[in-house]
Amino acid sequence: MTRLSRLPPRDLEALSAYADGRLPPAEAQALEARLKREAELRAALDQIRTTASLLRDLPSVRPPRSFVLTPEMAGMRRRRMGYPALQLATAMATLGFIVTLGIDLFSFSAAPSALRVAAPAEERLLEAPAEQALPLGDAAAAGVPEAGAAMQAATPLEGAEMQMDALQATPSPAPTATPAPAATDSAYRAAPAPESGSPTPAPSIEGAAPMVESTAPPAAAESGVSTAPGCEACGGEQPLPPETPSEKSAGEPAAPTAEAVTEPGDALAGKGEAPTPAANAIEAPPPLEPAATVPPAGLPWLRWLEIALAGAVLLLAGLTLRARAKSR
Amino acid sequence: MDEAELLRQAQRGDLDAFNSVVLAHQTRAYNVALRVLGDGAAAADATQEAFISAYRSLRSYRGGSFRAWLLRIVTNACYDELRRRKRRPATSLEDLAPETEDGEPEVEAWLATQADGPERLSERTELVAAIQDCLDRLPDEFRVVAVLADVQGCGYDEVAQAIGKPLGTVKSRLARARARLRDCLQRHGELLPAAFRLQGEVPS
Repeated sequence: MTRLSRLPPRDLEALSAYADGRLPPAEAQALEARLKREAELRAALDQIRTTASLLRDLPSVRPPRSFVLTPEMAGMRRRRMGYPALQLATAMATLGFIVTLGIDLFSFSAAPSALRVAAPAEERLLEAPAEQALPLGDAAAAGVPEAGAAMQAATPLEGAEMQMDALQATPSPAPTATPAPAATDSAYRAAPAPESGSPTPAPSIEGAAPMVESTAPPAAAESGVSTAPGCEACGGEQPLPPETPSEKSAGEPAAPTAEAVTEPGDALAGKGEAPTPAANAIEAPPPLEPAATVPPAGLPWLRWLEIALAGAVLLLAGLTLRARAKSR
Repeated sequence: MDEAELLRQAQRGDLDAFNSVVLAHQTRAYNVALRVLGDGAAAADATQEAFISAYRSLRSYRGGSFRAWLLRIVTNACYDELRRRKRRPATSLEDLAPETEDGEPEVEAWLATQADGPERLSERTELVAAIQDCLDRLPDEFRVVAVLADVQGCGYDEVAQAIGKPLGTVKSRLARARARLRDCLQRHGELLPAAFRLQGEVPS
């Protein structure tokens, strides 16, 4: 029994084309001469013809449905093209979130030192929130000097913006209109100055000491201790201002970081220090509860931006995953 | 209204005009996909994808044989599906099993009923299944050429246009596809027409 596959490829091609009448005349004549002589070649030609006719006789199957396009289908490519666009948007939102978070964290370390130079009257009030915020900004909790150095990296303009945040975030019990502009002005000068960027926890303790009798819940103070080895000197009696800012400062920074915990790993990958404060925030859940009682109107715009971006990242990531699942 | 005019209207965004063209070509497109993919459900999806993408890229059609232009899109949709299967071989095998054994022959059986008596029916269905099985065993690019040229009866030039390859490639792929199909069908000997079986017994 002959096997067509064993024919020389040249012969096979010639026979196949000949069967379709597509062999050039000269070659066709030569092949016809060979066909007269070689029975095996004739048999092969017959087999090729029969095979082709078997295929041709395959019944035409009626389609199971009509493939007429609906208007939605006509616009469907937008959805398929939406996948790369969604990927890009997710990446951009994640990047935006990280950058905003970074600016926010820097602002917490930058604010108190600039204020100390600019508005001593405000200092004591800002000290406690700032000290507690620091560990969130720096996972190693290496303390204030490093944060100060980090502040140097920030441009004066950023420093000024952050300062405005800090001032907005902390309601002033002594409502004097002058400190705020003074602080902003001085931020331009103060921010690059090294000594202003290296405050120690000590003055804050001294400065805040008179206000030991605080109304803040002890949980907030505990969180300050557990998240801030640099503030160990403060002990359990970490002084807190009588007003709510301490509660807020403990709660607010935790809020965006807690958001960050829910983010996919890649959102945090670029920010090595982020997971640690996040973990701290989880370890000390009590501060979160007072935060919930604080009216949201007190949140600065940067916070809102963070929350909005975190929400956008989650939403986009979800949409992207769904689009991918659909396209498979 | 002739096809060229319908296509001009479709190019201007007239979906109804395009759908008239779809109706004229959908059986052929579906059958190409069915024979290339060997799976009715996947063929329907590929055909739908092909018409959607044809509508979207209608601007790139500049006259000539619309059938060949469309067949190229259908072929590409089939290649997409085949690539998808290679990425997920486990699921695609599961998808295939019930389709080729139960679903598809049923459809063909329904078609065959009209022409043949009941005793010829099962024989015919088995032959169709055997041919599809042998088609499935071909390498993808051979199968595409065999389906276009032999099953659909397209000319060499049309096939060349549909697969985007030179004429020589079409000739050699078709020859090798036929040889492999023939050798594969030989194993289903009892199903084949008597003449085909006899031709196999060539004294050599």
